[in-house]
Amino acid sequence: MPARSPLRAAGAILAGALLVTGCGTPGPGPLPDPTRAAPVSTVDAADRQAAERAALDAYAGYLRASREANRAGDPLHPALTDYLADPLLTQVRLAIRDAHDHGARRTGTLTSDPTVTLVSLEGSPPTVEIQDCLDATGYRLTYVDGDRAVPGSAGQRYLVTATATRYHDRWLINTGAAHRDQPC
Amino acid sequence: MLTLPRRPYALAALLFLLLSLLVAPAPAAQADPGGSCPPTEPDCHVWDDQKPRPRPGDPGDGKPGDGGGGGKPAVCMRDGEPVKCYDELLGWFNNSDGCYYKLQEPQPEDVAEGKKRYLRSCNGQLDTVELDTPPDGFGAPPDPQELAWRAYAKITLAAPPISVAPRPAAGPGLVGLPVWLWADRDSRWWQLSASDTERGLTVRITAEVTKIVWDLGNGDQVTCPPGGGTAYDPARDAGRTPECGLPQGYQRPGDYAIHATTHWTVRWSSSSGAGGELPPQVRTSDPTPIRIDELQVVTQ
Repeated sequence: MPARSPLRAAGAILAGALLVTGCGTPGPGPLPDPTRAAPVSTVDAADRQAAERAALDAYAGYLRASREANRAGDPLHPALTDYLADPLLTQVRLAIRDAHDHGARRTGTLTSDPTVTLVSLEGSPPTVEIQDCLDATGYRLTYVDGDRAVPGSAGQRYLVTATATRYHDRWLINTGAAHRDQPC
Repeated sequence: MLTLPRRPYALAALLFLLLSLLVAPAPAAQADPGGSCPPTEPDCHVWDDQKPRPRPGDPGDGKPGDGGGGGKPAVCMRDGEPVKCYDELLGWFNNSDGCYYKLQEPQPEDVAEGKKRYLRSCNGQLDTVELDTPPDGFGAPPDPQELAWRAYAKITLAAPPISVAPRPAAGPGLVGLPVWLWADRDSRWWQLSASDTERGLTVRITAEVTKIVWDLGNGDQVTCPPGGGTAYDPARDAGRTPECGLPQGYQRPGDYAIHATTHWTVRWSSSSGAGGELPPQVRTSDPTPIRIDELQVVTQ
């Protein structure tokens, strides 16, 4: 039996560390909490697919509505309530107002590639977790007069996590976070 | 001096610890100081160290009405500072806990019967709370007088644009000759109006100058109506008595500084029928210098 070298032991532990931290897995960012997964057997697969589709539609609608509201500098843009619910709705409105009050606004394009990481239809209310690698390299926060970029606002690709929640007959995005410390 | 462990497993364990610290993703809530940003506004903390430009009518915008400038005393206070009683994004202010409350939009499916879920904002931190009854101050209608102050903040009661004759640029005047005083009549600067609307209530204010008091720098004061005083025309007015001014002129030679103080009345009316007056306001112009020389009598 070959003797275990320090290098080999370190390599084994390195592999363990990578597994624990999620690196090497197909998607970036935190892994879904398995304790929150709904039992698949009790939920119809068609319902799950419909929920996933509705959640991703709401997420795409949210990105569009947010871009429109940011471009217009209007925190009460009516499109926001078509896809967003509180608390994220108010967080987005506050961020738009904050930019407007500083004489700036966000313009450009966002490129999105979202995936569903968890469907929980038996919860109350039902939710769908979404993860995205959002490419904001073409999306800039600039001062309205002079078109100068606001310092510290460089666009990048980063991990996004969001939750779509069912509100009676429609799905809305009600929580979400940009993880700028987790590039993708 | 840093010493490395001699045992291979201790070295491996140390490596594991270091790698875990280096590559472990930070929890989302700690991604940004002050809380995570929305997905589409990842730079929401970029202005955390800066104050925004105050909006007209905001407490602390430097104009009266926020409780700090001799205007209306503030109704809503947090940590001794005046704040708005209603914010269009955050809802109503609760004086008892210093937080804003709005109904969560829309109400979730899982709210307990008889309760409502509110979004609570305390010093920039958002959370949700389910309540049987609305918090203090929630749903209060807009205060028309507060709206009047907000409308007032949109206008500027400027100091009067004044002129005097003899014109300082044309040389000194003479003892005993008339001094003409007038304010610009063309721009109707002495009549201003503005309005503000919140939740269906509109308040309109009208600010008017009731009089202009001229301080001639020699202890004398002359009061003229707003827009009073005609501009001096040397071709027409030589030897005439000024409509506003000193008909007998200064009695002593010297350098004088003339100020004009406008006295404003600000009235407000609202779509609810309520109305009133804001406290009187005065504005004083910068000094206009005038030199008066002795009248020389030349004999041949």
